[in-house]
Amino acid sequence: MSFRYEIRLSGAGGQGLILIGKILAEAAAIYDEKNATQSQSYGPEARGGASRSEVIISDGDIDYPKATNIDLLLAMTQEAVDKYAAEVKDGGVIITDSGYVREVPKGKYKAYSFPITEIAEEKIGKKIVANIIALGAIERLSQVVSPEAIINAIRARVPKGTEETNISAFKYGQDLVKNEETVTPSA
Amino acid sequence: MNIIAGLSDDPRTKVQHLSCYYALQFLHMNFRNLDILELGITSGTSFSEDYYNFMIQVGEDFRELTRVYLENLINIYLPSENRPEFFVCSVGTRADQDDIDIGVITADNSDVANLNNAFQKITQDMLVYATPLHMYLSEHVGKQYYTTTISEYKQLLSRKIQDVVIISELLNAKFILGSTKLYQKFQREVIHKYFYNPDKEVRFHEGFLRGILGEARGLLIKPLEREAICPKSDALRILKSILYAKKTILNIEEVNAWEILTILMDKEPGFHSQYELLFKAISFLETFKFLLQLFVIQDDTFRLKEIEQRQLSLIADRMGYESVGTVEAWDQLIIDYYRYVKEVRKISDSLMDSIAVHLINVSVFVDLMSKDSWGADGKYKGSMPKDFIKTARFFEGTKYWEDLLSLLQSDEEVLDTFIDGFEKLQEKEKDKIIQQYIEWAHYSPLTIIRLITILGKKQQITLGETVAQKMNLAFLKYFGDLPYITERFCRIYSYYPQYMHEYLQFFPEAHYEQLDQIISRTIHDEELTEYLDQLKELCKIHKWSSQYFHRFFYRVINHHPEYLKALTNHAQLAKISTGMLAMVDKYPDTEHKKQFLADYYDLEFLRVGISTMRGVDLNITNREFTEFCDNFMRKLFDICTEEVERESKAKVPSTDTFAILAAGGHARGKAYDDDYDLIAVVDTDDEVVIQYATRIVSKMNREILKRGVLPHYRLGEILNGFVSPISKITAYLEAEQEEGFIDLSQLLGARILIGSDIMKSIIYKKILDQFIFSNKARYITRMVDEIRSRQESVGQCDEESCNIKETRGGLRDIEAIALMLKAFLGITDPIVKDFFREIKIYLPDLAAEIDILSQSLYNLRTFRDLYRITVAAEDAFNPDYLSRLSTIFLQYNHPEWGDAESIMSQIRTTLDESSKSCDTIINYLLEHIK
Repeated sequence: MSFRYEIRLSGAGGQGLILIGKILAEAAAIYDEKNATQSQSYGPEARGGASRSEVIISDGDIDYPKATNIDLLLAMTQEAVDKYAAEVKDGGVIITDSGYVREVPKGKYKAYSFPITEIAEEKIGKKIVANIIALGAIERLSQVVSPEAIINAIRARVPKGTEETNISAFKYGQDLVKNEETVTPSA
Repeated sequence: MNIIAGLSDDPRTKVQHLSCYYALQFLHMNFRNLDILELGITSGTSFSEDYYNFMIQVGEDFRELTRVYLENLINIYLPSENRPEFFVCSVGTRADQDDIDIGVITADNSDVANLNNAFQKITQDMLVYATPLHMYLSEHVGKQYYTTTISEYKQLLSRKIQDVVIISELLNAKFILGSTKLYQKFQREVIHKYFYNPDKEVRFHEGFLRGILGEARGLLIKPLEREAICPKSDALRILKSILYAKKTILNIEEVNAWEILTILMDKEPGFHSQYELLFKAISFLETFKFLLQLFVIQDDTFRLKEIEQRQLSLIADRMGYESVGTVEAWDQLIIDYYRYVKEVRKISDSLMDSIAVHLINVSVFVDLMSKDSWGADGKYKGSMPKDFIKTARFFEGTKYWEDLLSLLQSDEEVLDTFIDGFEKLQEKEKDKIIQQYIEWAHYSPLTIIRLITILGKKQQITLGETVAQKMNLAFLKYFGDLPYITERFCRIYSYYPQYMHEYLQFFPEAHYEQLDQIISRTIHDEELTEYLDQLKELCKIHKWSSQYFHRFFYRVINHHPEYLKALTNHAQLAKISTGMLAMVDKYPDTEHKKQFLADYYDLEFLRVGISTMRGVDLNITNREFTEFCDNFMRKLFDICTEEVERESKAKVPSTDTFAILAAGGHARGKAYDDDYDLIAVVDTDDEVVIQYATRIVSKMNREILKRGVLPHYRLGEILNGFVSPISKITAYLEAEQEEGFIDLSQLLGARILIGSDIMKSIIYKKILDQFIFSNKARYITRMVDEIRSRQESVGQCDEESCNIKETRGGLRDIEAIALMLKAFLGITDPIVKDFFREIKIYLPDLAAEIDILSQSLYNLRTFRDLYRITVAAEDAFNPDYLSRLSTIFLQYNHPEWGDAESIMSQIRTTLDESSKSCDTIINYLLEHIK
């Protein structure tokens, strides 16, 4: 029986959600040899600042490219979590940035709130890598793509010379989940 | 000869008599053996056997002649009562007549003055009257010039492994005259140290193997000369090195190469056929070399241009070759020479692997690197890098470490322990140990290159300055100052291009300055010039290309390292690609087809990418890129259709009802898009047909993804499936949702990839005509709204970033204008290269503006393509990286963009002009659709 894992990455334009969607899909398909689809919002959808990317990962064929039963939702804004939380399946995961999301709607999912952007600014000194920190947390909580594959995909995607910063950000993201006291599940 | 010696009592006269007799016998011996060779060739059936018999006979005759001559001279100069215990052994090739290599070994250094005196005179006489005598073994060892004691050998060789040439000569030593008892002692105490004996110390054996394999590999990586043949360095030395290695592993006492090969055939039946081939090869090569020395010149290198054709014809004739048609006998001889040389090199390379397996089993390093010996807790006690280098000191100067490097590479735990050992050292000590590694590899840069590569690969995600990076910098600094380092790099590249490629994969950008200094030096070895050019190109690709490009580059080279040498030859790469595409149809099974198709895609990407880096015009690269992408998609469709047909045993929908369209950049012939917008449509609501079509697209999706291109099915996602029925599309468009406008634009800009003319006309009629062309005012108005709305939120081109797609006047605006013009004029053709030129005819009032847009599109895409190949697959340019583009522009096609500032200035001007033209065209269109 093949598995199917659906991830939605949501937030505002400029938060690099499309990029991490691409990284996740490439990591799964190229380096972990799974099947994947990735879609993204653009044009009028992105107008007003919203941004969304979806990744579906499977070890079998993917016949249906749309995410309908979400396993993991990353919400980098309050609007995003309000809009998409209801689509997360029972037992699914929601990750939010505590700097931007005050409240997660109640539901039968595991919610994790991490200071993603804050860490990007304070530890790395670059707000722009908040998306990669979130990717580290996604890797730990989903366990659907290997960290090696994601690191390879990061290296292939980010501009030359910035690999080390991005890999460092990814590790910070992983550490957020490893470090139990920063995990604040709420249901 | 003893009779001749008795003709006179006067020593001088006696020497002259003997020498005259030696000369006559020498000539007679050669004439007689040549006649015997001719007889064998004329009457026999196997040339190889005749060559072998000839060489054996020549060797034996010459050895016997020199032995007797030498014995008589010793009798003259050294009366038997004054002789210490000694023996003379011959080393080197027995049949070589240009010199005689011997060793004179004594029991100790007492009473050896007379013996040295005698050999001094003998050497003089032999030089004047006979064949020069060389005392190679004694010259380099001990206090005396002509003689050496066993203890001197033992003392010298026990310190470290020394020059393996001396050890090889020792292993090759054949007793000539003197004390057999002393010879046996010499064999026991010196020579046998190098034979494998599991009950005794193996480091001498291991050291010899590391040395001799390093020598053999050194010769293997040296490219063959173009204008000269050198049987010795081209093949014989390599072959003999391997034989000596095997001799010590399998305890073979024989010293003659043919005898060793005969025994090896018995002892290693798995390699029987290879040994047989080597037997033939050595017979041919030794005979050819012997005749060249006899008829042309007593040398090891024979320059073909300097050899008269007559001489070569004579040798060919002696070796049994005849002219066939227009092919001269000597031509065939030379062809056979290279055939044998290639065989020897190929077989030797594979035999080296078998020796490496033995090495890793017996090595003194095994205890160090084997987890079994680490202790009960499974942890290494001590510091592995320190212990390793300490043990390795004995082996200093040896060059073969592939076995241990392979072990390090293949065992994660050992590698982690090795790296961890470095990390635990204080910075100062770490630097010291790293320096010791660099100096240890003084004679073998390849070893350190491999080590750095292994460490670099393991540490690629390690943050901060890694051991690999430190070692690399120390390596470049140390080796950068050594003479002939450029040549050594070229030789490594010539034989192991893949190793250089792997090394460069983990090469820190900051270290290129040192590397550039090494590879930019002038070399005088013409044989290596071609490789230096290739190496420079390889470095350039690694240094100046983006990770996006590397993805394809690495994939191609990892699958086909042989293509590395074709990187400088664009035409050759194109031929290989064409062949690969042809291979797709050759295989019956779809898995093979997919693999060839994938290789074709990657190689074409690499080829077109390199051409972009070489400044090839945008229109050419975009055309070539689109062509190979289309080829890929069409073949992939066929393969996936075949799979679905086979799996479902049903006929899938025909292309009269099913079409796949390229949308977005691919539809417009734009190169280097990192995603692939696709629209799959069926002109039916039949669920079975939709299901089959979906399965085909799903399979295609998987393969496209593997190429690192993300397929997007925007319309499919909205309509809940990879494949959208036209009825659903029209219903969706009729609903006039806000986002439907994007899909409508995608459809207008789409280019049909798979699908018949029937489908093309259905799409035109049911979608384009109905929703766009019949109501173009509505479409254009919406597009104008979209442009203006987007422009409100886009940023400016500033010093930190410049998005050439989204900024006003950028690619998105130009493409939107093109779509509006298409709608306005009712054009169904895709927006490719000549689009603007063609529409200008219908819109003369806008000709100037359209020209500006066309030129703007050309400029921005030129920058975009090169940025993607050299920096990153991003539309937002970081000005800090524009120097990569300017270097290429300056070198090739646009000197006016030869610095980053000029590029930024051109981008700003282009965006500004384009933006103004866009506004003018928008106004014109709005006015004319009223």
